[in-house]
Amino acid sequence: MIWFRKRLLVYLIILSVAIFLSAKQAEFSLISLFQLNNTWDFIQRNFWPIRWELLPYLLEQSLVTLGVAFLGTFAALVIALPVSFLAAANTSVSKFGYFTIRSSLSLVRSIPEIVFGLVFVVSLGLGPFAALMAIFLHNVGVLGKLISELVEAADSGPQEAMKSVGSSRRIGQIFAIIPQIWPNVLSHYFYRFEVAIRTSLVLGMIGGGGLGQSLMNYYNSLAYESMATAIVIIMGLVILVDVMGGIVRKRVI
Amino acid sequence: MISFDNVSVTYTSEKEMALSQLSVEISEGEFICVLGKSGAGKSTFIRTINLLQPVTKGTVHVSGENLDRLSEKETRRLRTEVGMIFQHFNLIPRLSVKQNVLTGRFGQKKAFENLLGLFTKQERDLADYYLEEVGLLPFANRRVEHLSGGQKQRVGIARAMMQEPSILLGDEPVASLDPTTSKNIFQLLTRLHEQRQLTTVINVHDVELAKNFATRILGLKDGKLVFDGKPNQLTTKVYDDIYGHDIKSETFASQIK
Repeated sequence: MIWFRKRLLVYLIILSVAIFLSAKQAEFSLISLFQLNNTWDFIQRNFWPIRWELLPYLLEQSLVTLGVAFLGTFAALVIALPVSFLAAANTSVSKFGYFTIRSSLSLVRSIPEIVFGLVFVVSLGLGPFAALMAIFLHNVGVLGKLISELVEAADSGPQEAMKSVGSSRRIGQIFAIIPQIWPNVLSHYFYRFEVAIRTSLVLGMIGGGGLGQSLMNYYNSLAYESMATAIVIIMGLVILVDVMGGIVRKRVI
Repeated sequence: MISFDNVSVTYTSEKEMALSQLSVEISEGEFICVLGKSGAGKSTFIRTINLLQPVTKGTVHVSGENLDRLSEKETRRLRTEVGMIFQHFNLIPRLSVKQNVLTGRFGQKKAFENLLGLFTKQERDLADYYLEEVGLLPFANRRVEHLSGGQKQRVGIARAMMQEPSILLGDEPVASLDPTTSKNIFQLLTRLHEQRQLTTVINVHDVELAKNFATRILGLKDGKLVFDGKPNQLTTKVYDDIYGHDIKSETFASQIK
């Protein structure tokens, strides 16, 4: 029993209590679990046959979704990259600046995209632009934090070398850190892009346009076969982005 | 060229002094090896010369300038005159050999020129010249991650030479290399030193290398200078002074013979 300490027992109790309380809150019931069969029934009865004639229209909508997700996250990356240097302990301008920027990033990140979306749909009007802004803002917060952590973990050797050749602080940091963290920056970026595709679907449901809006329209008008077609396209889209990210990352490393 | 006057360095995290009341003069064109156990203050000593480490007490003069009084801009200018090579090479990954060498010029150019990679023909030729000197011209366009340890250190040397420095510092430059490669690196450093009368100060663990290549040896123990003399003045007693009795003197005795 050499691996086990008394403290583990305490953790076990805390964990059990947490599981029990969560199950209660979520109204988890074994009886309902057996009704999962109904879900399968529902899918079988309504999702078939897929309506392929909707394909051209839905592909067009998927371009909207793709555009929103790409531009939203890419613009976020462009802003987050310099900001992350100000939000990293080893490269920030001052302690005050570091804390201010870190907490602003946390603040932006703590607001879910759907909340931003609900606000922008009202203020900017219905359509993809509201979704774009929601995705952009949230991802500045997420990418800013993730990249600033990469900056903090970067090997200090090259930075010291840049200092010793007499380079200015900023130039030294840019050259010594960005090449080191670049593959990880891209991998974070592609993950966020993939997440943004799913988010833009949800934002579509509240009026942000694209595939999500079509999906919601079909659902509300009980056109389940049309909805199934949209789901197939969504799956294809996510897989496509995943594969693309893999290829780019491989080329970069 | 370089003078230490009663210099002490204390790190905030530690009680003991990394350098303690050290005074020493280094003249132009000397090739100095600094010996000492780990933690004796060798690195701190080297790093005070280009202000990577500020001193706590005392003054250091380099090329007649009091390092205490330098503004940030002046510090950067001083650093351009002092090349430095490192134990772990500290090259910039993902850049090519030649790009790494050109970064040696960063202190002497404007920020936007560095950012955009605007180097004059003269500078690019100089990079080629030093790559030829260190025997890496055929590898100029290869990424530095794909080089061996010895080759990486040669890139480090070419980068330092690209500064056209009057002083070259080495912080354990061969500590992660095998004996043959270490010797080759020292031969290269000697050649550069002789060609240009480059004042060279290098930390080294290998006593044999110090004896063969240095014109003068400094021995540090617990932050104090315990030996300052010619390589042929190294005796077993001096080893004991530098490395202490806890290390088997016989091993070192066999090395001096």
